[in-house]
Amino acid sequence: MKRILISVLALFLITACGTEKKEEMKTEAPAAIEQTSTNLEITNGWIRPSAKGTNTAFFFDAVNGTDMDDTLLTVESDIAEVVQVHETYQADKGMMGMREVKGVAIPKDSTVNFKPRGLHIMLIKLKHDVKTGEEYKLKLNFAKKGSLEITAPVKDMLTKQTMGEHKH
Amino acid sequence: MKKILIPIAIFFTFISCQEKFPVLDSWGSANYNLVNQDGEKVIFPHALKGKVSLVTYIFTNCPDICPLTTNNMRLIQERMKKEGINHVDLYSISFDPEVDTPPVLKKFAEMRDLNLSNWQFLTGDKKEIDDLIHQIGVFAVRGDSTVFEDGKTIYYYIHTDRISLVDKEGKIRKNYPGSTTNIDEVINDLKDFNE
Repeated sequence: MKRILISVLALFLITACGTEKKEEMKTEAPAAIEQTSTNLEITNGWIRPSAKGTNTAFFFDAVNGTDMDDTLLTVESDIAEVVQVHETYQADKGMMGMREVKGVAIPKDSTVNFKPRGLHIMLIKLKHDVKTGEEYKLKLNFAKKGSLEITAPVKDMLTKQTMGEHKH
Repeated sequence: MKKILIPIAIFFTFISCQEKFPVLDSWGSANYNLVNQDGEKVIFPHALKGKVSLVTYIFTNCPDICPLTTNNMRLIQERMKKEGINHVDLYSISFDPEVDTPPVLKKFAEMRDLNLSNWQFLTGDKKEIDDLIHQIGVFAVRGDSTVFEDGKTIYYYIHTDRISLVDKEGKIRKNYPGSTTNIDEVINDLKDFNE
């Protein structure tokens, strides 16, 4: 009887606060980008919605299928008063910060992901509301390639976080 | 024998729950006068008492981390509804109250089509907010800034990235990394935790 009661007690204690589920954080690898291009291209571009007067971010993949290293220097857009290349970084005590970066290397035969929690284009002080479903033109200026114009959709938040990476 | 074991089981159950959700921090006896996105007064954390809460700390000029954290709060809210968890309220406190007035917070929520039925965005006097966040070890320090032609300046904060699980007494029982929160973990915790 004593053994049964002790076993029941042990089982009760284990299950008392629910099962501790050690699930890994749901992250998705970025979609594989076949580098069949022999050009420098911008793919998967999107802008977060935000209100007039506030800031938002533009994300994309810079696919350099050429045999030459290049550098993203600046980005232009009519929808914001100021456009800067930024990166999010981890500071002390688990704090997160953001800073401007002057030029981002896009090495040959590689893809650089501008992604949440990483590199992004900061669209500062929007001239009007930027709403889900809309599309806007942006011009990306590279050191060697010159200018690339693209149209990016405004998309609502991701339902799952994507954690991109720099591939070579 | 049975009479002895039952109180022991109750005692150990209490202890094991305390271990899973220990009291990490609290606002003590302090209360802070805040306002929500509709300009309604909210005495914090007094207003939280009686329900479990998830509390996060943001600023609306943040283009990356705070939108991710806000999106995670939304995902949690959607899962709560789906799983019938209705004992939890959500709060987002701005640590940039000079910019984040109630109309700004309201617009922030509207642009993201957020459901505010059990979610409030809070702001207030700068000193009040600073005292509130410092009390529980949340930091928000001005970092880079952009100065415009009209002389106005936007500041970007280096800040704590956190969602806090707060009990019915207003005490913090667990912290999650806001922008990378594991939604399943939070939902499982909320199913277990109703103190």
